Amino acid sequence: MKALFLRTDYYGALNVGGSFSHTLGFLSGLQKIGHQCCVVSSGDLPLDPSVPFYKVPYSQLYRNLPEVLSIAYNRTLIPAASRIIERERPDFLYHRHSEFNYSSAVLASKFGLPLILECNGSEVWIKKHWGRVFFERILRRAEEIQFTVADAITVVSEVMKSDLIRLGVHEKKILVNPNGVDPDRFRPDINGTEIRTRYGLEGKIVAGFVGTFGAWHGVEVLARAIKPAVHKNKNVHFLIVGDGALRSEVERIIREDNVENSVTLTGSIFHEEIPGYLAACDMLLSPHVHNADGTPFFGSPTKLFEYMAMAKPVIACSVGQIGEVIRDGINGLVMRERDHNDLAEKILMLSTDTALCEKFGAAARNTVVRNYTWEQNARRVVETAQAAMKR
Amino acid sequence: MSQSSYKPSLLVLLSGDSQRIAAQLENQCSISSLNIEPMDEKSIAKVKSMLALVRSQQKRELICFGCKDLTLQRYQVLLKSYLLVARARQRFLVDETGTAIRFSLATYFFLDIPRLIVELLASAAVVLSTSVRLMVLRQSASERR
Repeated sequence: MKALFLRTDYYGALNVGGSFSHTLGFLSGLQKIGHQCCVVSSGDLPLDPSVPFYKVPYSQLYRNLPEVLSIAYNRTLIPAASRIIERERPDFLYHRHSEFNYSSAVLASKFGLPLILECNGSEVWIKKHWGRVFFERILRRAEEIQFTVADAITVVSEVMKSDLIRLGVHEKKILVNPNGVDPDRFRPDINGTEIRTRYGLEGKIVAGFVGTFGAWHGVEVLARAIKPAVHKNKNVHFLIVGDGALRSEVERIIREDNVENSVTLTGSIFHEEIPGYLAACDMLLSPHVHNADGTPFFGSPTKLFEYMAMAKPVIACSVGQIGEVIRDGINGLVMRERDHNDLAEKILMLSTDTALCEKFGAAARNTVVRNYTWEQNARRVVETAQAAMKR
Repeated sequence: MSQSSYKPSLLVLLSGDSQRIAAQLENQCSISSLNIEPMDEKSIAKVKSMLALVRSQQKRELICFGCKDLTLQRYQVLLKSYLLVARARQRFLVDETGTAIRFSLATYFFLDIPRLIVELLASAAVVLSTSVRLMVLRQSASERR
């Protein structure tokens, strides 16, 4: 089987975060199970040179009005991708759903190809709740067409499946396909000494976080947990890796709590450096929260699987899918949502119990290797595409 | 006016790593002291607070908007409009990679504004034609269903 992978989001052109890990992970998983792929993307992707890659960038013209850039991208992408399909002759299209983009519906109809749409949330919902929408009718119609034409829609969690059913998508069309990890890249034998030396963390108990500082990552809870944790154990140090919208808020909390000396904020790092940073930590934190408007967390946090594959003990909040993955006291510790004191207590508990850390780490690695790898993720997609081709 | 009588320079950080951007800025010009003001991209639409930020009573040595990558940074004409009214000796857009755009009145009025007018016209055409196309696609998609 040969897949044509379409990555059409604008800020996706910046290669950071869970969405980037997802894209690379899925593509490597597909190759590992013996299938081919070619990639059409709005931005650069550090892929294996054997993978045919076509960059179709966004127009430089539409840069000063909201949303028009994404609307106009369809007009650039459809003719460009048509030529690529004629050359590459894929068996199916795999499109990471993005705002205002209806190009894969047009291409699937034009070439009679099955379309698997990877949906990480309704763009209508996301823009209305987390941003602002100016051309709502166009956004809604583009999404409706994508959902109608797609032969299957993959979502990362049961919560998201329920959301799509509420939006009118037929249940049988939806495949729950959680994110995953490459256990050969994220593995326990990676040495974190170089990172520890670089940031002066030798001899410290390091609690780590990697992420894009999104509203759902719970980074404010993490920042508030620093003070009570270091108050009781001055040897605990926080390594916070990444950058994003809430970074300035995190920095404000750290300043107010006067704990700057107990935290290292690294900013963004290259994706290939992440395993080394995780290896430098003694425990890893995933204090996710439900959405601010009270709706449930619907993601499938790639970072959690990467943490677990490193065989590090994880402290996580059991919102959404995280509750299905982390079993309290078996393969990690579950903290109460938005409770920074609870997080601090659990950090302190792990900081003095090496045996417990090892037990949780081994069980966590076992969980992800059995159930959450990119190979398994890609295999489920291929099986779905094969079923669509038979119909 | 001597350099010391200026208010400290201001880096309005829209995205990216403040230290890397500040280092790139120092490659462009010498800065005695730099205040960094992190800001969500959405906040640049709040004209009143933006004007209050860039139009301080005492002139600054430098004002600049910093981001991760200028080739991807939207709303640059709006950012330049703030630089136009900013009270500062030097005005820049700069990114982590070292790309820097020094604000120039000539470029603003003879290149950016005409380009914005073309963008407005093209955008209207794109929105209208997409609306029509989506109506047609919606019809054929429902028939397919």
